[in-house]
Formats: sequence, C-alpha cells, structure tokens
Amino acid sequence: MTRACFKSCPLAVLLLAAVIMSWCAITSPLKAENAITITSDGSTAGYLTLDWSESGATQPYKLQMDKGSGWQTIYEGGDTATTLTGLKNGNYRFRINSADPATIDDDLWQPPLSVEIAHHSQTKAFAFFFSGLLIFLILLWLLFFTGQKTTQPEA
Amino acid sequence: MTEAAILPPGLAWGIILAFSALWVLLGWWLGRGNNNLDDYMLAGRNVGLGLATATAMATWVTSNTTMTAPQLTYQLGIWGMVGYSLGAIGLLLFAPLAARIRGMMPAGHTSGDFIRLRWGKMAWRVFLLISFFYGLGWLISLGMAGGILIEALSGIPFAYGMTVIVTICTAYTVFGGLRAVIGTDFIQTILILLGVLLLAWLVMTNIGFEEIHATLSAERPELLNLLLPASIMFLFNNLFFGVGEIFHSNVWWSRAFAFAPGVGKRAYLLAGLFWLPIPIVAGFIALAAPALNINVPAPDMVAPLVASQMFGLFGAILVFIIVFAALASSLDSLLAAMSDLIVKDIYKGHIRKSASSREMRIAAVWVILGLGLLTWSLSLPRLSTLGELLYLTGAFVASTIWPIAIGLKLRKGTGTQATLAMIAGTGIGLYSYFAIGFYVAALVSAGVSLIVMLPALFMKDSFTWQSLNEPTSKQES
Repeated sequence: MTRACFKSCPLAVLLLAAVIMSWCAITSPLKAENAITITSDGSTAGYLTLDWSESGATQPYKLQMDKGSGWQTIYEGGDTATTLTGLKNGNYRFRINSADPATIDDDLWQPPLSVEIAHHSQTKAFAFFFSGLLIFLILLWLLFFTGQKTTQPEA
Repeated sequence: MTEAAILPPGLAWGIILAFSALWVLLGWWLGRGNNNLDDYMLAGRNVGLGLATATAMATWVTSNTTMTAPQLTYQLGIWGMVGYSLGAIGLLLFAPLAARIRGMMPAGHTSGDFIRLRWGKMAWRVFLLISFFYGLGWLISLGMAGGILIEALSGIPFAYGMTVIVTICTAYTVFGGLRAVIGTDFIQTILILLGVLLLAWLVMTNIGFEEIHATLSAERPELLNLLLPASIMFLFNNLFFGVGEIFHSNVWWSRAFAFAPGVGKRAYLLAGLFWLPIPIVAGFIALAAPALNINVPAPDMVAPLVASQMFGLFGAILVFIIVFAALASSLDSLLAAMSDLIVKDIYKGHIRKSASSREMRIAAVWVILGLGLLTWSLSLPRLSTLGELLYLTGAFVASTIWPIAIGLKLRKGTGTQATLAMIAGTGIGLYSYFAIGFYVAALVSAGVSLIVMLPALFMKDSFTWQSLNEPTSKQES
C-alpha cells in the first residue's frame, strides 16, 4: 500500500464508523418498555409505525388511541403493526389488547404508550426550503453557465 | 404480518418462475456476443439511442419508485409525491455531463477512474467507500422490496420471495454482463410503461377523488397540508438525493461510457422526461388507503396493499409484474456497475495491478456472486423500512455532487478540498438524519459539501483535461 493509502485510512475509518453507527441506530426499535413499540418514529413529521407483535395479546387484536377525548378503537384484526400518518400536533396514547372479550387481558391496557407529535416549525421548514433553492441555483449556474472547454468534444 | 394478501401463493410463484426463466434465458442469449472485457463491462461501447433511453429509464424506475414513492406520499402527503418526482432532475442534469464525460474520457471505465484522475488517490478512496455503501444500501433496499412486495400481495414469507429475486437477478447478470442488463432493461421498460399507464387508467376510473379527499380531510388532514413542515423540507432533499445518486454512481457513468458517441445526452434527457410522472402515479394510490380503510402494517407496503384491495386479483398481478420488472432492472444494473467499480478500482487498482483482461473478467463474475450473497444476507433480517434505509444513503451521495460537478466543469480546486467536502458532507448529513429527520440528510450533505468546495471557485486553474484521458493498457483492450 502506498503512503497515500495510509493518509486516507483514518478518514476512511471515520466514514466506516459513521456507517456502522448509523446502521445500528436505524435498525434498533425506539421504545421497548411498552406492549407496543414504535418501529418508525416520525413524531416531528406526523407519522408513526406501531408494532405489538411482542405484546402477548391474543388474536384478533384491538388497537386503541386516545388523543385527549377518550379511547377510540382504530384497528381490529390480525395484523401486528400499523402505520398512522397525517397526525396533527398533540399528545397521543395507544394501547393494545385482544378484540375478543373472552381473551382480553386487563394487564395489557397498562401502561399505554404515550407519544407527542410536534411538527417542525414553519421557520425551520422554510429555512431548509430556501437553502435548498439557493444550492440548486448555484448548481444550475455551475452546470449551464460555466465550463472550461475540453480539448476532446464528444464525437 | 399482513392479512390482506390477495394473490394465491401458487399464482405468485408461477409469475416469479415465468419471469425468472425469461430474464435468465435473455441474459444468457444476450451475453453470447461478449468477446472481451469491454463487451462484458460496457456492452462494446456502442449502445444506440433506443436501448440507451430504455436502460436509463428502467434503471431509474426502481422498486423504490414504485414502492418508496407511495410510502413517502403516505407519510408526507402531497409534497412527498411531488418531491419524489423531482428525482428526475438528476437524470436531466446528468444529460449534458454524460456527453462531456464520454468526450473527455473515451477509454474510461468507471466513475472511480474520474475521481482518481481528477482529484487524486485520497479522494478516490473516500469516494469508493461512499459509492460502496450507497450501492450496498440500494441493493439491500431492492432485495427487501422484492420480499415485501411478494409478502404483501401473496402472503409468501418475506425471506422466500427476497431470496428468489436476488438469486435470479444475480444469475442473469453473471451470464450476460452489461449487454444482458441493457437488453433486459429494454423489455422491462416496456412492461413498466404499459403497466403504469394501465394502473393510471384504473386509478382514474375506479377511485372517487371526492371520497379520498373527504376521508383525508377528516382523518389525516396533514397529508393534504401544503405547508406540512417536514414535506417542505423534503422537496429539495429529494432533488439533491437524486442528483447525488446519478452524478456519482457508476451505474450512470458506466452507461455514459457504454452509449455510442452522441447518444448519452439525448438518452438521459428522454429518460428523465419519461420518468417524471411515474412517482406521481405510483404515489397517488397511497392516498386511497384511508378511504379504503386498509391497515398498513409498514409504510413501504402501502402500494401493493392498496392496489390489490382496489383492483382485486388483476390489480395485484399488474402491480406484481410492474414492481418485479422495476426492481429486476435496477438490481441487475447495480450489480453490474458495482462489480465494475470493485474489479477496476479495488481489485486492479489496489490488489492486483497487473491483472489481465481474462483475470478481471473472472473476478467480475465472482464479485457479482459475492455482492448477490451479501445483498441476500443483509436483506434477510429486514432491519428497516425502504424509505429510511434509502434516505440514509442520501447523506453519502449528496456529498459527492460538488466534487463531481466542479471537477467536470472547471479546472479549479484540489484533491484535499474534494476529500474534505465528501467527508464533512457525509458526516454532517448523517448527523442531521438522526437529529432532524431522514428528509433533510441529503440537503444538509449537499450544503456542507458546497461550503467546503466553494473556495475552489475562486482559485486559479490548476488541472489539465488531458490528464483524464488515461491510455488503455494493452491487457484491457
């Protein structure tokens, strides 16, 4: 290996470490102390994926949600996960149990999973938007209004 | 995981077997004419406009277009759908660059060749690492998409479907090299276009727009909110993700080298224009999920679930064929392009510098098989959703936009700047992925990379274009 390789190795190792840490982070469930876990947390974007495969509840399942006005059933069936999207700002609680009254386990209702949905601010959103626009305009300028001629145009 | 599967497993296996046999036979048949390394890796450098446009479009219509676009629509609403279609900008902007690349590097093989010659070995090694992780992330997302699709539509367990799809694509890429990939892409493009047109017609005739709108307004109002913060942040993020993917990836560079002179620019422009509406059509059907009262266990399953619920068995078969063609056309392209990069830049560039053309040809086969195996083993645990996995790679690829664009257009800048731009862009992009959300990683990465490269614009010219025209060694010719 050349000296250049040794010079670039630490940088490559840094990049590799970042990749491994990122991979571990995206693949680990976010909350595991409840019967329901969040497998995809978009609480700043208004979506959540909830999973109750490890809850111990009996099929068919009943998923309930409380957004401040009491418990409502939002899913009944045999699936062990659901994705909720388009949620507004606010505090949400979720709980899972069997939909069959004969197999309801009262212990499963507690504790419910609490999630706060808090969207990013408009200021932050437009800051990203206009930054993106500026970077895009610079890219267009570079691609279409600069360009030193090469000696070998395409045949 | 889902109880909504509509396709009988026997029928699903029948479709898989029929298409698998078609792709493998075509791969073998198309690969018969490969006489040397250039034939195998670059299809003889003489691909015409029709095939060139088809392969560019088919490769860019991935299972991500057909499954992640609906996922983002389902998660981020209207702008998620529109934002995904901005991925076409990458193809449109690469069109003039493809012509320039073909002219400046008539004997070039990979995007790594350009980085090495333009920015030096340190930047080259960092670039290879970025490209490898991106390629692997994309391969895994494609393998996962195959398994998810088959599971959602037929109930066949994820692991079985994923295994079959990865095995088939690896097999025909091994047989035929890039020539087989481009040939099958042509047929897959026809299938995708016809299928999407039919799907669009079914959507327009079967769904009540008013019912969808009323349900969304009542149950998921934020999906219709044009000021939804995360989706506003996502718009340019997706644009830069697409630009980064195409500017850096050897999938697109190998095609620029493989297309006949004068073809690249028109092929990429046409492919971009054809691709533009596809995510809109694919994404739109996700908005019908609440009106149809469909439970969506994982957001990346929304498209096949809605299609099968709305259109019954026929819709399920249609979606199955479209997505199977889309992911096969991308999986094979990526396997071929990554193997080129590994064989040319890592095997010959670092391990065995005196490798003959025959040794590289054999190495390419082993690399494709190894990549297939790696893809299978990393897809098997289904560790993340397609969207989250894909956008993680956005932090990597967007950092390469400026080193590529400035490197191709101007004779300014240094290798150290290019190296730092890629590392800082990737690092801070990854940080923002976790600190803010997946929908800003590529945008932040592109911004940071630009800041690092910006001083280059004010430097004196220091590079000669002739340095890019590396003579081909006798062994490779």
